[in-house]
Amino acid sequence: MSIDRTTREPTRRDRRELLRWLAGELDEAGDRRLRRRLADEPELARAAAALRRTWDGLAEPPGSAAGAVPPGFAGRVMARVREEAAAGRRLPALPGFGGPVPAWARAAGAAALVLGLAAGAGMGVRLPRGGEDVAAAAAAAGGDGVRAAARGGGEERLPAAAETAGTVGTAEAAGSAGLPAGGERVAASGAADESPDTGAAEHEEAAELAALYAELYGAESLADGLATDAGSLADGYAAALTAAFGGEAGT
Amino acid sequence: VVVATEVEHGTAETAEPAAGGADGEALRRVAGGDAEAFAVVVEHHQERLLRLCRRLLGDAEEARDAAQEVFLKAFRGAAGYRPRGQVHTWLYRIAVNHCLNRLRRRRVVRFLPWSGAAGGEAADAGAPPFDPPSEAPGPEDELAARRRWRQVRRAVAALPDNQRAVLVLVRWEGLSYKETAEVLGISAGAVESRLVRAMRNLGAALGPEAGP
Repeated sequence: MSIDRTTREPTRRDRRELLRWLAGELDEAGDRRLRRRLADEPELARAAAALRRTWDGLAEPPGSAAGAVPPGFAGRVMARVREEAAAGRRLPALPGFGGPVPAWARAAGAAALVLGLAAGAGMGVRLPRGGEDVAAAAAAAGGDGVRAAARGGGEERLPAAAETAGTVGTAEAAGSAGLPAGGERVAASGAADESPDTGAAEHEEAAELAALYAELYGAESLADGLATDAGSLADGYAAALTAAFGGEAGT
Repeated sequence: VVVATEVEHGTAETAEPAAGGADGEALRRVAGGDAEAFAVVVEHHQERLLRLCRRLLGDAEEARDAAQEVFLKAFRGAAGYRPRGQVHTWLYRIAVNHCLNRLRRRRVVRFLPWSGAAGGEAADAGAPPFDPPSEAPGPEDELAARRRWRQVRRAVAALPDNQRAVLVLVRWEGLSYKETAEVLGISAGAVESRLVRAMRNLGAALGPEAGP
């Protein structure tokens, strides 16, 4: 039965089938099968026609995509790229990025991360319940530490980290997460937060951490810094322990 | 294997070979320190990224900024690129995430070109230029088409971000469910569910007369 007799609407299954048809997702056999049904089932055919009207109505007017590339766009992008390259601001390679960052700096970064997370947890900053975003960043970086932390529970997200890591961020807002792209924007997004009083401490904490990452890695955002750090977190722990206690600690 | 992707308005774009091709090679050179090699990637993908950003953000000027940022993010992340799929899918993923994050940061919805929130012609500031079909017989048809397109933009702007992203990728960018799933990092089933919900919402918003 393709039509729900009470609502006169196509069933969920048929609606999916019709959409697959419109989107070109049906194979040849599926297309033939649906066309036979459309010929035999007038109510389904009416539903298909309505759906098609909506689908076709989404077509952009001819010419609306014209001139999409403004003159000199590529040149401007490459100028920014050269600036970044010249300033050495490009982040190190994601896998195993030791690079030019000295061990003491990595240790300090790792220690700051741990302190920041602990302080954040103490003040009510919760990490994602699903942890997709941070986990994706950690996965891209090969680090288990942040991924494990991301599984810890909570609601806040790190959307900027997910952008290059390859997962669609599902943050409600970078502002409400208190972890926007760029430490300098923390205060601004904090101001936009619906509960600035309770979030002030987190924002301050995040700003400090972001500034540290900017200094250490040239990271443009706290999230980028976290992603960078994820891959070397274990080394960072070891170095921090060594720095604190000396000897073979952490090895 | 060269994959040809048919996009709207009869424009056929030839994508790079699956393993990354010239773009993949360029990214590898970038990762090795050759920043100039990135020009190949920019040249190949600027049009589609600008178009995608504009469709997601609904604002031509913001789309330019966003696309520039997307390229910079790609440049910074070049070393992390793995030639599992096509470069444009990887770039789409960065672009969609970037645009969705921008939308979230806005907090206050202000898709003037999309929603026509300000009403009237002012709402079209920054919108894609409207060039009615040449076969349009007269100014009344042009006006009706313009009004209809504004209504569509408003309805699309009212969709939740995740539904709009799927709609843009499938309906306007011509991506398959599988490609869309790759870009968004979700399953093909989730793509389909979001698309079904988006179409149901649009059907309700645009009414039974919705159509070209």
